[in-house]
Amino acid sequence: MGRYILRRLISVLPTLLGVTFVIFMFQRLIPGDPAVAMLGEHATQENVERIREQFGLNRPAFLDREALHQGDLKGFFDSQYLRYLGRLVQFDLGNSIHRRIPVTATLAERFPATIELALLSMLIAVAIGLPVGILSASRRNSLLDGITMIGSLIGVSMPIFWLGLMEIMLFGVLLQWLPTGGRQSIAFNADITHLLLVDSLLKGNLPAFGNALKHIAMPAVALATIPMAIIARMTRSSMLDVLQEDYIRTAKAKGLAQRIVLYRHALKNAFLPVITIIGIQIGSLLAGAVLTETIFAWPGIGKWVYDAILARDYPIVQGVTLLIAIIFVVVNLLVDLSYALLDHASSTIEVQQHGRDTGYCGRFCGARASFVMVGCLAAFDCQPDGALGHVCGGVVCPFRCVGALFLAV
Amino acid sequence: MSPGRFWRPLYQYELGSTKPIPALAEECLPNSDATVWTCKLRKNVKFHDGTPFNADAVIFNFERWRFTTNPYHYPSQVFEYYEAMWGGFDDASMIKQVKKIDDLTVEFTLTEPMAPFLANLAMDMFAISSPEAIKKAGENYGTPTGGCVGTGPFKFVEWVEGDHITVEANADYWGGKPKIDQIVFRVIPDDSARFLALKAGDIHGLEQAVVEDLAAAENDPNLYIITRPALNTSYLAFNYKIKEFQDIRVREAVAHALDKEGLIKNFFGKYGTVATNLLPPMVWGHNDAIQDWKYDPELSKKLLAEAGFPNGLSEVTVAEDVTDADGKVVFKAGDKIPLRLYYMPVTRFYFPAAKEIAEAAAANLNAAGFKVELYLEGDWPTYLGARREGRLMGLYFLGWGGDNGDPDNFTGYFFGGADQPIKREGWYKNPELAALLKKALVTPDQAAREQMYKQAEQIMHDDVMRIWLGHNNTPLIFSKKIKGYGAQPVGADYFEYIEFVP
Repeated sequence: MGRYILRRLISVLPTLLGVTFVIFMFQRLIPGDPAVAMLGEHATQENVERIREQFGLNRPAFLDREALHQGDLKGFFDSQYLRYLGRLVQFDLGNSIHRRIPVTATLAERFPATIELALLSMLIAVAIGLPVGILSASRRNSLLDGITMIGSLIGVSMPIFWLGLMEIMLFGVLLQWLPTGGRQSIAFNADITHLLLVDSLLKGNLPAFGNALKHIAMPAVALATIPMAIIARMTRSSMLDVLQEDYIRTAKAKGLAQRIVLYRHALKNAFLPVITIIGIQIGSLLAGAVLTETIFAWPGIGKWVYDAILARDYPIVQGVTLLIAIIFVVVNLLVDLSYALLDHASSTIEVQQHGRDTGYCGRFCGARASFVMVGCLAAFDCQPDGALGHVCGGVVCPFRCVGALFLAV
Repeated sequence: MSPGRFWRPLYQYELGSTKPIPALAEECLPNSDATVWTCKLRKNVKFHDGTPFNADAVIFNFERWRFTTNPYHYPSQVFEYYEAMWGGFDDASMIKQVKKIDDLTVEFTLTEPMAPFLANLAMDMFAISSPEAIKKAGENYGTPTGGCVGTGPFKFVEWVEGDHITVEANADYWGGKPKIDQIVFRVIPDDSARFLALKAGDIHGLEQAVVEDLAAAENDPNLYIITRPALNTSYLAFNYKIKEFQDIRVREAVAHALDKEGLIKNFFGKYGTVATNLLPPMVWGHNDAIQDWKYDPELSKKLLAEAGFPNGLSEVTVAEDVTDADGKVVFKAGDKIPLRLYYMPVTRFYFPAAKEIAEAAAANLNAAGFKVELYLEGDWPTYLGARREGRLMGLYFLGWGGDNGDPDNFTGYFFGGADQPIKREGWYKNPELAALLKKALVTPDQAAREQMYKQAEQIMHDDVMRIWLGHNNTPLIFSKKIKGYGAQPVGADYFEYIEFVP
């Protein structure tokens, strides 16, 4: 096991190196010069040349063949990419070309904003989407089913910019219940980790928490709409598949209550594809939500990197994409590691238990559906005898698993 | 919106105009040939950090900007405006020396007479910072982490990048304490959300309003609109490496084909005016005598026929090779290409609806014997890059916002180098114009200069070298709870007169 982990950790490095290379190459394939983008209509030739030199943009992107011809080996390697890698190994992402401040500093401020929004949105999406899906599957073809499925179809196809503006119009302008944008009113300053909801609670500052919650409410709901609808539809169809299985018929024939059949027997199997979807959605939300961030003036990484691409602010784009790549690489690594662990675990768990199944959670979470389980494992001791085992009945476990992920990521 | 007037330069622009008036200097007087300027500094002024403002502070700032060897001249801080307005750094600088005469007097020695000296001095980029603060913050000075320390009516409090900037009143401001205690500048990227935030009362004023919201604001009893006087010009330019455009009759045909009144009325709304000059009317040197080209599609067709295109013009010829930044030939001499109309991929303050205007202009041109292809070069940096390299091969839209209200900042900037074809300006060449503009730059007498710029406008008009489209008075929307916002045509707006009316 130790060797496996080591091998996997080492294999991450070439992946990340490849990522930096691809980001670097693609950025420079887009025409347009950062210096020109920065100086606009007013740029003089001297200005542009000087800024290009300052940021090393006058150097070749990868290797300087001309220097090699002249026998200058140091010059050969003195390229934009190798300079960038040199800084990267010192954990320096460079400075923003436009703002001059280190990319890491802005990242530390902005990424928490994205995390906060992404996780709250997912919480809303799961808390509503999942029960709605189960409910409509259990009452298939009823009026309720029809309404929720049409509702979720609308949700999936909802343009976020429109929904966001409607929210602002209703709750911000007409009813004046909620602020129209931003993360917190300027008067509150409860910043520690830049996760404002967490910070204000840590400081015990309830007014600040309330203020932050009011600010995040509308963007979180807007951002949750699409994942919510997808989760509801996925849960429903997956439940319907499972409900047609033989073992469900057997369970029903045994005279088990509908509720028990649904939650204890059907859901645990139906939940696997849903978890995969949730995992994918979380991954993409963490990469930033440009539209939501734009409309609600939410200072996350989505809008930031979007602007940086338009402005050809290479260091920002490189930094943020690298971060996202690392998130995905790390999560995949954890998933793979969990497979290795769980292969071992699942072989020792007896499967055919009924009722309050202490092995249920471990087996359930170990079903290698997606990296969501990694969250469970990291946050809770999800082994059969662990703390979670005691509360692992019914739908509690899936919710706990998802909840755990929020803490784990 | 500039972050709140932390600093003041030696001179500043009069409220609502571009006239330089004394600020940190009580007056600056030139010698007879305008090569030496002596500035008396204001007494008893302190920076926000308590550092006294004096001759040493002025010299510290100018040396920091000028000398690349100065320990506080950080390359990352760029100082591109010093380079652009004063001729360059180090020995290239037109300011040869800044000398301390006494504690409150400095003397600027120039390499040659420079007529727009005071107008340049009044630019925000040459506002004086506290030397102590610069030494303390080092390379971070002027960034969200480093902040900034000046002598202006407001002090820097906080800058959260991409979110907000907070400033508070400077009770010791030499011009009197501002009437409000604090201003928060917020970033709200979405146009509609910004307007809704204003309607909800979350903010009290905004800029970059879109046409629909302006109409809504006009009918809203709680809001009002003011405009920033137009110091900008939008235009349609010719690329002179197209053989057909070298014929003045073809250029005239384009001029007569455009319904400028209609374009301005429909797309700039009531905030735009039709341009007949490069210089906006508020800049001295604007030539009222110029008669604009009449909108007359039939005349265009006639002119095209005279130029040898009786069946109209849909395809043009590349006259000389055009290369990109890497020296690769992208258009080869003799190539036939469709007649392109390049439009800007973004909305700028001088160009409120870039694509729609281009579509309407294309319809105008097509009705007058041309057949143009609307062409998108790429996003904004790509477009600007292609324009710099002179490879927007056809007709292209662009505009300019002035920096300091001096005519040289328009006409001289564009065509001062026209003794050779200017790549950036569509390869335009006009030695007569270039000589006139160079002379105007070093003539100290403003009345004489004014005549020269008027003459330059006439030369440009007679040559139909470019079609000036409009000047846009940039609208700003405010809540009625706010009054006294000092919108400036150039540089930072004045915030010290703002009052809160509950």
